[in-house]
Amino acid sequence: MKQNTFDAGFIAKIFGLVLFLYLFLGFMVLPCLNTLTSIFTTKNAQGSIDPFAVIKFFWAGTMPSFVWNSLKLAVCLVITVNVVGISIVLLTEYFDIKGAGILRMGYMTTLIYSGVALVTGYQFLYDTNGMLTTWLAQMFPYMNRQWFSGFNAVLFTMTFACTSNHALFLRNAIRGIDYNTVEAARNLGASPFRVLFSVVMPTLLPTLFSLTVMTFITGLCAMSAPTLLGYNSINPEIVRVQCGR
Amino acid sequence: MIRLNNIFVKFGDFEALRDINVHVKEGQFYTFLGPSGCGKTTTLRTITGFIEPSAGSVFMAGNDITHVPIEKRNIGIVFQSYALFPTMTVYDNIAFGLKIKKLNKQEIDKKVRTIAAKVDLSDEQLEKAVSQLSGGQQQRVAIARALVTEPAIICMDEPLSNLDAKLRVQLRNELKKMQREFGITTIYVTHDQEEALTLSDCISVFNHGVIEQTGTPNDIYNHSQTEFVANFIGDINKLEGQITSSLGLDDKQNHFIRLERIRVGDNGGFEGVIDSQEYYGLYIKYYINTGGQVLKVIEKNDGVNIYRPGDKVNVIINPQDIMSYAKG
Ligand SMILES: Nc1ncnc2c1ncn2[C@@H]1O[C@H](COP(=O)(O)OP(=O)(O)OP(=O)(O)O)[C@@H](O)[C@H]1O
Ligand SMILES: [Mg+2]
Repeated sequence: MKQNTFDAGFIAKIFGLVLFLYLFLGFMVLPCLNTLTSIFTTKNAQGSIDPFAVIKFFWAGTMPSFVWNSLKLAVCLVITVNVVGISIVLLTEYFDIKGAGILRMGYMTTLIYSGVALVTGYQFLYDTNGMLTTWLAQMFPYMNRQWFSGFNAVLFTMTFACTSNHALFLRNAIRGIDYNTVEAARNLGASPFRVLFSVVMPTLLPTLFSLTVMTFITGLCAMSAPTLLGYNSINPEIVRVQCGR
Repeated sequence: MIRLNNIFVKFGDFEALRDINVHVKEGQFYTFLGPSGCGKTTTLRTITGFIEPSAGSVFMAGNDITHVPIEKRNIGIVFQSYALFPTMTVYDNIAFGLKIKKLNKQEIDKKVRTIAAKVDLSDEQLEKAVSQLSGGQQQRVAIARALVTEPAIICMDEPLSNLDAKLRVQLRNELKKMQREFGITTIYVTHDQEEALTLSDCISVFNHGVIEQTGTPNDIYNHSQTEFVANFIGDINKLEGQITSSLGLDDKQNHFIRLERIRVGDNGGFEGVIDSQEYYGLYIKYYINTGGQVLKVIEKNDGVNIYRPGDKVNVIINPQDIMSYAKG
């Protein structure tokens, strides 16, 4: 009997280990190795294997400007998303304001749209023939109907797309704070803003750090918004180059 | 020191407090006692300023502070969860209030170390993160943090309820010792009647948002003014049928008697049979069947007169020990 349970436990352990190894190797180690291998074995224009071919690709011709554009987008996005996300969460969770529920709903609905649907939605509103543009053009006939394009349009669209994720995580973090600590600080004489900076924010820092990294990567790898709104960042360009071959 | 005059608190339609009157004197250890949800915390939060009463006023040292903001009240608080700042060290937790008061570094350091020594926190512990301390130590940090700014009064909301039974009794004694040492006016919230009786100079018993009785532990225990108080504090027998009629008690009232007030003897009183016995060492609890009802009785363990189940005994009740309340 004892022997039996030992066997069952042992088999379960082995099975678990094998499954873990399969997932770990198959989905984490191998893909990385593959990527690294292909980076360093890519053939250059002359047809010989060149370990620096990929790096050279990013420095050739107009490529640096695409890379630069992507970095600019990622950095700006980190700033705008953090500013908007933190304000939204503080306004709807920390300070008591009217209409917090509706504001929160508005932001959270963007969670259900995928990137393309979201951008299409924004275009439906703001594009050359979009509803808002048409309406504005009726009021100001000389306005530029293409106002919603390029860097600012991408930044705007992506800020709102990313904020919902940002706010979602931050909201959970802020709800995890023991509200008594806020009251304790108030009781010890701290103003609401002092409480925010010395008690609430330090607790949120780890979450904010991961969210910043996440947003940065999203900005760097942006695809749908730059493509649809006409912004020359690196990811759409890579796709163009690949398809153009 | 603190006076609550006709305080009412409403949450929407729900009336959490009705006509609360409390008078806490300088240096007193004052306890709010009552079952869960009866409004103890709400009353405390009205004093500390987290809740504004819908009617009534709060006075502190003769000044109306009903609408004075929290941070201007100079009231220390110890929370049930301690509410220590998790990202700061023990030292920074205690120093927080002093930093806000913009004291200089030396002064802060001196005050923090003085208070830490008083609540038995070592220099080593001061440098630790709060999460590295045990429950009892965290509680001491919370007390030190509340006392270091020298508040006029300190409020504690069930500060011992997160600790295990043994530590609770130990810290209860320490708490009382500290309170005497600092001589600070203390308002204490608990649902534990033993805690209330052992610690307090004065107790208010709460029930459903009203105060049922205010008095010394002895008043509350031996002269309970309402049936609720009599039942909530300590164990009690409700006298019924045969006993009430043979004692000639008013049948428009309910009659109660404490366990230790009933005596067991060999003659006089009512005849009964020991149903069962619980041996506690310090005392023995008997369940005695008197024909009409089973009475719970506590006898001091004198080592000689110990009854066994089935023994015939006489139960003696002194009418003066009976507490009677109108049937409602
Ligand atoms: N912010 C609030 N909104 C609505 N109802 C509340 C609020 N705070 C307390 N209550 C209600 O008021 C009543 C009294 O609550 P309170 O917290 O004062 O009870 P308590 O005596 O401290 O109980 P416990 O021993 O469980 O802590 C409860 O019925 C509670 O549901
Ligand atoms: Mg409470």
